[in-house]
Amino acid sequence: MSYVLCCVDGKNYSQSACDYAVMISNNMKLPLKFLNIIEHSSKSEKLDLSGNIKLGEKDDILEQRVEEEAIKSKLAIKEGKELLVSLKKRALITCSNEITLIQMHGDVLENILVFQKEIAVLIIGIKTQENHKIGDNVKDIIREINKPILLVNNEFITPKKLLIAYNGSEKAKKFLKESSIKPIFKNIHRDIVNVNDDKTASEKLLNEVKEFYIKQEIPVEISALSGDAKTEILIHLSQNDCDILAIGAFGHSRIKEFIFGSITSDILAQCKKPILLFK
Amino acid sequence: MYQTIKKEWFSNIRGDILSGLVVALALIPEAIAFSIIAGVDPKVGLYASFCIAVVIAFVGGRPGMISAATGAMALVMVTLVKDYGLQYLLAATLLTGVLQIIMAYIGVAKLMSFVARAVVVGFVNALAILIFMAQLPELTNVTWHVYALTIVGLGIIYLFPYVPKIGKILPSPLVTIVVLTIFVYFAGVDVRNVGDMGQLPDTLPIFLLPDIPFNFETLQIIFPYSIALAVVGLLESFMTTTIVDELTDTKGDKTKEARGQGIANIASGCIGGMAGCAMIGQSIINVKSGGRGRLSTFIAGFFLLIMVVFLSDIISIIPMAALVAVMIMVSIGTFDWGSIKRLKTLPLSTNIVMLSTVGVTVYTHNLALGVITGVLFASLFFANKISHFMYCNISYNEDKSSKTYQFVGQVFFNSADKFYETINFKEVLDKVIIDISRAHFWDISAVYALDKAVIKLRREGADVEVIGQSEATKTIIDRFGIHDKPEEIEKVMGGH
Repeated sequence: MSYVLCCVDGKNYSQSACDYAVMISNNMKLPLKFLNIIEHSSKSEKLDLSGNIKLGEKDDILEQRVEEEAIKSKLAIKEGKELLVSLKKRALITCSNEITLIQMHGDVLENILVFQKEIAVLIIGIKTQENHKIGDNVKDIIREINKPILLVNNEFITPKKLLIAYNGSEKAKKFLKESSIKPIFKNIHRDIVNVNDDKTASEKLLNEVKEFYIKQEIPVEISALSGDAKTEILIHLSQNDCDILAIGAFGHSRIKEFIFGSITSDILAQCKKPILLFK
Repeated sequence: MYQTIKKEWFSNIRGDILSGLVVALALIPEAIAFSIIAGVDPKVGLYASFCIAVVIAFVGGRPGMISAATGAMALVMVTLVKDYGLQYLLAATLLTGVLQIIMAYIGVAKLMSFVARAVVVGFVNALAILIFMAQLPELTNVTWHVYALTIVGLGIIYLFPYVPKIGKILPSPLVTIVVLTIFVYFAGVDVRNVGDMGQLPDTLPIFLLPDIPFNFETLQIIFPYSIALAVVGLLESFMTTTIVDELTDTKGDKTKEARGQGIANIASGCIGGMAGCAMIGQSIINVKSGGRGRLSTFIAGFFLLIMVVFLSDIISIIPMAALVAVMIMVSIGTFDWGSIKRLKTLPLSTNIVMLSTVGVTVYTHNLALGVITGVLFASLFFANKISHFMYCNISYNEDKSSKTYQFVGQVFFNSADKFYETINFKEVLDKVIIDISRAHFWDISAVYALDKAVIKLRREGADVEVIGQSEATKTIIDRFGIHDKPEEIEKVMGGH
């Protein structure tokens, strides 16, 4: 059984992520799950470079680590529970599907991977700062999870216009088809852009998509852009008051990304609106 | 893949670099001390420590664990060095590596489950005692200056961390070495120093194959040593893995570690280093200092070499008393103090296993023999305990002409005699029924005891009926694995 999974940590737009999750759950008629992960770190905050070991040192270190971690974990569990409960309360107001709450111990990605098969859409709140860097956890999730991911980086607003950065690839086509059967966003205006210096190819591609949406009776607009993909998409996004950006997250190899940089990760870092990544 | 590399290497850069430096400083006295135990130049141990630490950082299975030249290994190689010299040691080191890689592939890590907890504790304690005993030659037939320096050294090691501010930043073993060296140098105290113990490295290590005849005779000489080294090395590495796992709440890969140890030893042998393995004391120091990732092991090895090569003149004037103090600290820290506190509360059998492991090891100076003794004792005690899991219900028919023995429980070599003796052969009976449908026959000793009883009863003129024999003997288990199934286990535990 698939469901909408919303990962919350209480730090990064958890309330807003919750609202988007509820909306998507309602749109897709799927149950909603909130996941709070208790991350563990065996690293001590106390710096001790004295380098000596005394009688029973191993037991002492173990005891000290256990105590430190127990306090941290207890606190994290309590805060997580409170967060989950408050989000459930918030979600219950508008959510018409079943809501479940889960807490798990361990690594964020590993835990999400456990649910990978059942996830319909994954929603996570991310930090936003001026030209911020996307956290490692989020990067890893984007790389490893092969499901649509909504990154929430702002307060919730009911989205009216969705900007789809379309490149005509097989994956993008597949996503269009799937999302028309089971729409993540309903009753929303679609603004589809393609960035290509070859205008005619671009037009052809976009017209295909337009026809596709017209058949489905979904309002759609198309624009062929040229120039630097990253800048053009971001400019288009803000000029046309789009509320969400949908873009393909392609399986870049690390080395490739390292050498050429990645359009997707640059956009992630600079976009001020929630981003829907599809794979 | 990328993620694992990032996590294991770069998730704790600051902590790993600092702890790596602390460990590098503590590794120098250890490497020198263990070279002296093995009877080779300090150079051999220092090159080995550098090489093993750096190589294991890449190929080991337990991030954050420190491997280098160790006392456990040095003790095994003493007679080889004495009788045949350094070149044979290098050849033995190479062979040790090869054997460890083979052992890794045939699943040696799984065998660790036979090593009971008490044996592990015994091993650790024996190791601590051996490290301490190895310091005694430096403390016998010497002037009182040495004792004074050692005591002052230990004082600095344990008290310096209480000094506000700098106490937790400067490694106290380093402070000890620096203070004692400066004192001895300027006060002109005549005590032995590291330079007196043999050659120190003055260049970076170079690749060289051992200068020995590659023939069967050589193999005959080095093979017994290599086997012992491989076993001791893997044992200490696995035990250290467990300790680091426990301290950091993460899981190491023992098979990968075994293979890594093999590769590291081959590399060490190739640059003129001795065999080594994981180090309990240093790994504890590493974790304590904040080291968690592979980077910490790498930094430890790398800085060790840098310091040794560029500071060899200074290192040679370090008084041995300072090293002895550091080694006594390592010995104290390695000792599992909790195990002594628990002696009173643990069952006698557990204590005997632990103490016999310690006793045999300290007597033979061979940790492998100690562990074998411990494992043997632990298995015997276990067999004895299980043999108590057998009882017999006796019942008669109305006129007492027929008797039924219903056996329940485990019948095997250790309980077979008890099984046989339960049957009363003096009694005059027409019929004897032996119901073994709820007994489990583990081995041929059990089957033999049953046959013997049946024969004796028949000789006495009784009719013997055995109930459930086919099922009971069918379950003599030689095929492992089928018992993982719940229904099979049910058969064993609850009759057939």
